[in-house]
Amino acid sequence: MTTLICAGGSGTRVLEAVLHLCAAGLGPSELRTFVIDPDGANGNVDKTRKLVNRYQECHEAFKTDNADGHPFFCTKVDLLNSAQGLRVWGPVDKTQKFKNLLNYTDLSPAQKDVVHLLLTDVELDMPMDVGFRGHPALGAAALALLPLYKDDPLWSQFAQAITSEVNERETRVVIVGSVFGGTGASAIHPLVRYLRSLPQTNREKLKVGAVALVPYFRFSASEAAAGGAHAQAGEAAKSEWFAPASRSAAEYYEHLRTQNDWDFDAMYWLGDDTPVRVDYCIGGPQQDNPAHFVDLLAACACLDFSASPPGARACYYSGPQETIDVPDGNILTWDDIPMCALNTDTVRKRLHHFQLVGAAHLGFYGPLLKDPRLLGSPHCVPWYFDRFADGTAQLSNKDNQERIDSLSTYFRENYFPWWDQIHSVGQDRTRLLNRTAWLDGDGSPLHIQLNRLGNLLYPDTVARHGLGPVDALFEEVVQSAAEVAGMTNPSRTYLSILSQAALKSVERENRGSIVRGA
Amino acid sequence: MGRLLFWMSKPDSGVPDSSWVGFLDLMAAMTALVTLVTVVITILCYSSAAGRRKVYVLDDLFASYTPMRWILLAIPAALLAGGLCFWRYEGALDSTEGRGGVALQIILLNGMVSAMIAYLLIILVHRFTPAKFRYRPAPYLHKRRVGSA
Repeated sequence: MTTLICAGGSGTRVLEAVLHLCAAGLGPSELRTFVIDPDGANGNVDKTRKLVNRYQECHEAFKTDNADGHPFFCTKVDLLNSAQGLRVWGPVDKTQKFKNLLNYTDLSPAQKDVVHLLLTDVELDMPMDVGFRGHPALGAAALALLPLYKDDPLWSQFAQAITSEVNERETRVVIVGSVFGGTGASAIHPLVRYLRSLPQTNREKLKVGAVALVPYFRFSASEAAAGGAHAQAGEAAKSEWFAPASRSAAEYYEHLRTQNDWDFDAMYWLGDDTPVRVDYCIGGPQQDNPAHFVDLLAACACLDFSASPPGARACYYSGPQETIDVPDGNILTWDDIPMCALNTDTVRKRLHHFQLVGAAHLGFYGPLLKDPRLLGSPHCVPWYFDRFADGTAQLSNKDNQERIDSLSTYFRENYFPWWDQIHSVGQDRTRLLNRTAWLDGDGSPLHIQLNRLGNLLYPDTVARHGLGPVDALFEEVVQSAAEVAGMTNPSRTYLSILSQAALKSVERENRGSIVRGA
Repeated sequence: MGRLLFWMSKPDSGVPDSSWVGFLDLMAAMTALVTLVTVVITILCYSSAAGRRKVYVLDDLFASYTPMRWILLAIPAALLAGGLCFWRYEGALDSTEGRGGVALQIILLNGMVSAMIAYLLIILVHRFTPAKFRYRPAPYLHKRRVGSA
């Protein structure tokens, strides 16, 4: 099993990306995950929590029970027996000031002097209601106390799971967070040290990777100053700190390497040279930064490590190309997604496959299943008539309708909006999928353009527009309905049929593009 | 071959039996030829129309299945056969008595046989209908299953 520990807001957004990739069938068979964020009520955490719940719904509804089935939503997400969904752990009490965490008033004068050497008065008096606000010194101090939380339900369950797993098989843990903010920057190294202390036997079976994000977004300092009392008091995070903070982090980890104090099996450094501007927010529910392609790269790094941890115990980098003169600026294409264990073509094909399933479901098959004419004249839709119009396999009953609704909601509210955010970065910088496939005439999401079903990958090519692929996919669906084995519920069978048909279409399109390329 | 039209009786008792038998042979051969040609053309046109029919939007799935209209090709073919019968009647039998009735029977026979054979071929030979419309030519065959759903 792979464990993904997400630290801070950036780490949480990476979890969002990982879940979308797992939905597309790129994830491990099981994924244990939780979030470390003292600001557990921030918008990103809330959004990810809802996404986890929706993913779980889809996993339960659509997980396949035979090898013939589709690959989607197959990753089982383990939330450490949480009944409330995604667990978000914070090392501080929201009602505390930071000095309370250190038990400052009971410290000796000498100890207080040491504290003042490391922390300012503003930091000591900082309320912990919205996290560490980009102050890694606070986070590092708080998370250095991690071993003291061994009786906390989350950490005790986690420690128990890891120690028992390493006795059976190789266990992989990935920690992801930014190194330029507060929580992520302060969590990575204390966490790795803690993890290494857990197994008493078979320590070599514990593989630990870290994904360190360097600046890829910014906000205006003047907006921060106008952001209220916290900002004026100098407590708020500032974009100007990001670069020096990243540099310090890099120097720190380099120091660990040179001193042979390197606990990582792999460390991935990811960032962007043109940070996207986001609205300033000190934290809380308003902190809801959009997804960025760096999140996607980080998610790919997590899954790459999960698939097969590299043995070199080295650092891996992904950033803008500096030596090649790119006329269009720094862009992201499929070839720019760094992979070691995974294969770029496989990832592209799988995402194309899932994209086609999503677009076809939202734009055609979902509405078809809701169409009252279908119940009256099911013979007009042979695949439905053959597989779902009869007896216990009816797709129209309440349970199956709810399952289909959860799939539609996932695509409509989570998956396509997330890709839209990924492709909104810069001007045409992300060149993975064809964004016009889900935009309406005014350029606003989400309206599936069926005439782009054959042009779901970048670029948007007029010659590939048209409704022919809708008809071709329908024919494939009819054919696949005769081939796909039945599952334990009709919704799973439906997704398997659509998946197999979409896969054939993608393969045909790929063959066509190879021929065109030749 | 004239025995194919065994139910037809001489409308005019003055017509020699040999002439009547020869006329029936001619009509039977013409009916067979017209039916064969009509069925072949109907199947070709149906198959082509069904193959050209696309599913682009939901309405395309529930719209009338217009390729079946090619079966109506049996009507002009039957009228043609009836016209030929009407035209050849006097020359073959030296009489005009009962000409209209015999021509009408030939029209009905050609029309019904051509339409029926074409329809049976369409619903029995699956390759004439694209898989995506496989239940459209004979929806009544599937009504019972629909009803139990």
